[in-house]
Amino acid sequence: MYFGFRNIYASYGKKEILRGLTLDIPRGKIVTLIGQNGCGKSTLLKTVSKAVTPKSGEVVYLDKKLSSYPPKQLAQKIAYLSQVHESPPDIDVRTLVSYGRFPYSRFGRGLTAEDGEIIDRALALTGLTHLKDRILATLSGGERQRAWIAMTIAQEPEILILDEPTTYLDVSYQVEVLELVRRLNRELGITIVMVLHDINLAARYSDYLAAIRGGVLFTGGTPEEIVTEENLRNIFEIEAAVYRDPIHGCPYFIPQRTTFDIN
Amino acid sequence: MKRARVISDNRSGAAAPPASVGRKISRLITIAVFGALSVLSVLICTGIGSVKIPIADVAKAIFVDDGSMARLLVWNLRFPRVLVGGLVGVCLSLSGCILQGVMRNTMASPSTIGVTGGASFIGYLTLVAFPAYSYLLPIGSIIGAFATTMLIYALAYQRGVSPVKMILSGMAVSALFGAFNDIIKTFFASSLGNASGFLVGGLNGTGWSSFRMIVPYAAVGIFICAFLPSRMNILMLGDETANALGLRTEIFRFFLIAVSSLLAGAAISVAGLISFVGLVVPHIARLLVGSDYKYLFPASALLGFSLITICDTVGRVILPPGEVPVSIILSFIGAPFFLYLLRTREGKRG
Repeated sequence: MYFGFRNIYASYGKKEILRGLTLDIPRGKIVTLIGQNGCGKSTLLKTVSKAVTPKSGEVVYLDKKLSSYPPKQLAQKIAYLSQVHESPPDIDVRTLVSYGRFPYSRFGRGLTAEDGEIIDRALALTGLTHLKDRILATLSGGERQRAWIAMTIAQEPEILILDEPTTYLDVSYQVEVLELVRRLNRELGITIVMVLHDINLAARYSDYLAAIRGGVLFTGGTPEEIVTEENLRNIFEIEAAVYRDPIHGCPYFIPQRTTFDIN
Repeated sequence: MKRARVISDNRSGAAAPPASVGRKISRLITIAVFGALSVLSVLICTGIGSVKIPIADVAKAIFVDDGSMARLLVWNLRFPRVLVGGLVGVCLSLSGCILQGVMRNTMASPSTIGVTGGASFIGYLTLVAFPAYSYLLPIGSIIGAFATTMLIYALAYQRGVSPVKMILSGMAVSALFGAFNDIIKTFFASSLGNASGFLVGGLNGTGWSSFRMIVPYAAVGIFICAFLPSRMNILMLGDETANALGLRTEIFRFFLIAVSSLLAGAAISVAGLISFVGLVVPHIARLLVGSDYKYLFPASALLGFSLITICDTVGRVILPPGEVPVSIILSFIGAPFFLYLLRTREGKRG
C-alpha cells in the first residue's frame, strides 16, 4: 500500500467515530473525503497528524506503519494542513512559509541558502511572491490559506493532506484554493487527500471521491460513480437532480428536498 | 519604537529593502539598545547609594583592585548585588517567555501561575530539613517550580491554557503554598536564618555567595534557551501543525517546563517571591521586537536584567536609611500592568 488507512477504529471519549475504516490512496491522485458532519472524515485525517490516536488499525505509508517513521522524516514526505490555523499575530508570510523547512533543520543550524530557494519557490508557486513581506493577518482569506499551503509546499512533500481547506472562505477564495491544490497535484505530482463539504466542488476538482458514512467507507470511486441520485440519498439524505457539466464533464447536483420530513 | 508595517511592493523591482529586512534591523537595534541599557544600569546602579561613586570610578573599581574605599564598596557589596539582581531578572524573564509559549497564553508567568509559591515552599522544606546545607536551596526551589508548573498544566491545559482557568488555579495554588510557607516560618524560624533574600523577597544582603549559588543553574538554563527559538516558533503554530512538521510536541513541552522551572527556581532561591517580572518583561519585549523567539529571548533577558537592577536600586535609595525590597517596587509597577493586560485583548490566547 502506498498510503492509506487500514481498519481504523477511533473514538472521542465514549463516542465511537471510526468503525474499521479502510481506504487506499493512489499515488499522484486527488482524493476527497465527503460525508455528513460527524461521519468521521476529519477524524480520519487527524489520525495522520496524531491529534487522534486510533484505538486499533493503522495509517500506512509505503507498507509501513506511520508511527514507525521518525517524525521529522515523515514530515518530509507527508504534509498536513489543519482546518483551523494558529499563528502569532505579527508573523509575516515568508516567515510562516520558512517554517515548512523545519523537518529538514538540523540541531543548532539556521536556514541554508537552499532552504531559502525552496521557500521562494513555494511562494512563487502559490502566487505570493509580491506578498511575502506582508503580515499574514492583513491578507485576504484566500491569500492566507495560500500562505499556509505554501508552508506545506516548502516541506517538499509527496502527499499533502488538507482538512477542510475551503471552510470559512468566500466562494471565490474556495475556487482559488482548489485551483491551487489541483495545480500542485498536476505540476508537482503531489498526492492530495482532503476533506470538502461542497460536493459539487469536490466532484469538479477530485480524481476520486470517498464517501464516508457511520465511520466506515460507504463507497468510493470517480466523481461520476459517486455523485448519483441514489448515493446522495443514502449518504446525505437528500433528493437531488444530478446533471453533467458540459465543459469539464464532471457531475453536479441541484438539491430538491431532504429525504426525511422536517415537520 | 514602532515596528514598521510597511507594505512593500517588490514587483516594481524597486531598490528599497523589503519590509522584512526593515523589521529585522529594527528588532536588532532594539536588542542592542536593551544590551546597552543593561551595561549602563550596572554602572549607574553600582554607583548609587549612601556613598555616591561616579561612573568612571565604578568601572575602575570593578576591574582594578586598588584597595580603595570605592573598590571595597563596589566589589564586596554593590556589584555582586547588581549581578545577582540582573541574573534573577534574566532567569525570571526567560522563564516567563517559555511559560507563555508552553501555556500558549500571554498571561502566564512564574508568579501568575503560582510557580513562585510552589518553588518557595519546597525551598522552605529544604531549609528546614537540611539547615546546614543552604546550597541545596536552588535544587529544592527548582523541584518545587517543576512540580507546580506540571500541576497547573495538568489542571488547566486543553489545547492551550485558558487564561481564567490558569490564573484561578495559580491563585489557589499560591494561596495554599503561602499558607504552608507561613506555617513553616512560624514554627521553624530558627532553621531559616541563612537565606535572607529568599525569605524576604528581595536582594538585601545578597553577595558573591548568592551569585555562586545560582550561577550554575542560571547558566545552564540560559544556554539551553539559545537552542530553543526555532522549536518554540513551531510550537506557536499549535500542536496539530507542530506535530505535522515533525516536532514531538508532548516531549518538547515537558522539556520546556523543566527549563522554565530551572530558571525560575534558581531566581527564587536567592530573591524569594518576586512577582510580575516574568509577566511584564516578555510583554514589553513582544511589543517591541515581535513574537519571534529568536528576538524575544534576547530582548526579554536583557530587559529583565535592567528592570531588576534599576528597581532594586530605586528600592535601596527611595526611603533612606531603610530599604524597600525590590519585590515591592516591582509589584507597584507590575500589578497595574497586570490589570491593564486583563482589560485588553492581550490576555487572550496568544
